Amino acid sequence: MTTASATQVCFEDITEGMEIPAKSFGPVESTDLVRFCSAWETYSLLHTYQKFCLEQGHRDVVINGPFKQAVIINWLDNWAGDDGFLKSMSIQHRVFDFHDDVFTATGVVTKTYEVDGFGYVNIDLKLTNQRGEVSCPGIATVVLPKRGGPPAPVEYAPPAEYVELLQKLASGAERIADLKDGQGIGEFIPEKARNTIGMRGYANEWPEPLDRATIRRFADATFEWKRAYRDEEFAKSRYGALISPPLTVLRVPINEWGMMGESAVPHIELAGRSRGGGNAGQDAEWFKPVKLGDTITQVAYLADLVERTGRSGPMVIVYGETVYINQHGELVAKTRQGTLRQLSAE
Amino acid sequence: MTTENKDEPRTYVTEEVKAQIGKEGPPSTWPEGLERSTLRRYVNATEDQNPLYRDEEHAKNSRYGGLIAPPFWLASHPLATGQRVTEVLHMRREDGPLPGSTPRVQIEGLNRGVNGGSEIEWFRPVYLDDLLTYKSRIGRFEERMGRNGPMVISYTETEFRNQRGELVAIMTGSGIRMT
Repeated sequence: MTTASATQVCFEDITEGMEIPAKSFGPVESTDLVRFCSAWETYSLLHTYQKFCLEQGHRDVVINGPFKQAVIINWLDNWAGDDGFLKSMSIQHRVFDFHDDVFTATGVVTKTYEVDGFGYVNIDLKLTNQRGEVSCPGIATVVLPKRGGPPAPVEYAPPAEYVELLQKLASGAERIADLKDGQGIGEFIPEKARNTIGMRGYANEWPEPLDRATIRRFADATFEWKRAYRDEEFAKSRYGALISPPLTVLRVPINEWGMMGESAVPHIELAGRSRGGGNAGQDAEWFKPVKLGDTITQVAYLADLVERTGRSGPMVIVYGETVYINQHGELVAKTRQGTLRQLSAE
Repeated sequence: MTTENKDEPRTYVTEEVKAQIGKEGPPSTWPEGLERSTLRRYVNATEDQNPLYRDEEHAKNSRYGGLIAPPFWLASHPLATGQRVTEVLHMRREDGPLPGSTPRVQIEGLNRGVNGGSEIEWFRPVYLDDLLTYKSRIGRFEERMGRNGPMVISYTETEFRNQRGELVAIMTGSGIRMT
C-alpha cells in the first residue's frame, strides 16, 4: 500500500471548527440534467420535460434530489482525495431547485476523532442555491489518513445491527422489525398502512454486472475525476479493480427494460387525497466500493410512517431502509430514505 | 474584397472548398468495447424488441453465437467523455478542437448547417466486447438552389472498424450548408 502523498489532505490538517474549501457547481444546464437522468436511469417528467413542470406550477425543470447528492458527494469525495474515504452522508431536501440554478457546497468540521489509527472527521454541510436558499442541509463523516501513514481503508465492517438487518432481509422473513407503540399514528395513516411498518419489500437486482460503460456514465454525470473511477491501472493497484463513484450503488431499481422497477419499499395506501410528494432526503453509509463486475441486490423494508403538518398542510413521510448487497453477500451500503406524501382531507 | 452583386449567381464550391476533399480527421476510438449496459440502454431507447440484442441465450443459439448490437448503434459514439457536454458544444461553436474526429467543412458565405441524412453500408455485425474505431474524411460537394436560397451539400464518409481491423460499416453523412 502506498502512503499518503504530499497533496493528500491528512488528519493532522484538520481542526474542529475549520471550514472545508467550498465548491460551486452550475449553472445546471439541460445537458447536465439529461446526462444525469441517463446515468441514474430515471425518466420522470419532473426532471426532463419543461412543459410538464410549468403545468405543475414550477418555474422550470426541477433538478433531481440525487443530482444534488451527486454534487455534494463529488465535493466531499474529492476533498477526501485518493487516500480518504467518504464513510457516510445524511442530507435532507428542503426546497426545489431548477434548471439554470447554481449550487455552492460548504461545510464546517464539527468533530475529529481517531478509530484504529485513522482520522474521522464529522462535517456539518450545506448545499445552497444562488437565491441563498439552503437546498440540502446535512452531515457527513470522512475518514482521512494520518500524515506518513497508510491510506484510509476502503473496506469497513458494518455495525452488528446492520448485520442483523441484512440477515433478516436475506432470510426472506416478512416481518423485519416490530411495530412499536405510538408508531405510525395519524389521521391519514389507515390501520393497514400502519401494520405494514416493519414489513419487507421487494428485492431488486441490477440488470447486469457493473461494467466500464456504467462507471464512465456515472463518473461523467457526476463530474468525477478521481483516478479510482477513471484510471484502471491506479484502481487495480489500490482496489483490485476499477470502482464506481459512491452514488452508483444507490441508484434506483431498474429492470431489464430500463423502466423503474417496483420500489424496493412496500407500497402503502394512505387516506385522504394526494396533493403531490417528493424526495425528503437520504442517510447513506458506505462499507466498501462497488467494483467492476459486481452485481448489487437491494432489499428494503418499510421503516416508519410519520405524519406532520408542514407549511403547505398535512403530509406523511414514508421512511424506507435499504441494504445493498454484492454477489458475495457482503453489505456494500445501507440507506434510510424519506418520501413525502402531501395529503388533504378531501 | 468582393464587389459582386449579392443577387448575382455565384459558386460557393470554390477551388479552396474543393481542396478540402479527402481531408481526414484523426481516428477516434470508443471509450470501451460494446458492453451489456450500453446495449440494454440502446435497445430500450430505440424500443427494439429483437431478442438477438436482448436475450443472451437466444443470441448464443443464433448464427451470431452471441449478443450483437442493432445496426445503427455504431452511429452513437459518445460525445464529451470526461467533460461537461456544454463545454464541448461551446468548443464546436467556437471553432476550437473537435472532440470527435469529423473534419470541419469550411464554406465561405454558408454558415448555417443542418443534418441532411445518412447512408450506411454494413459489412459485419458489432459483437459484445467489440471495440470500434472510426475515421472520417470529406467526400464531395454538391451545389443546389433550394427554396430558401443557395445551398451546398457536403458528404462525409466515415469508416468503422473493430479491434481486429475488420471493416464494420461505411457511413456517408450529408450536411446541408445554407446562407
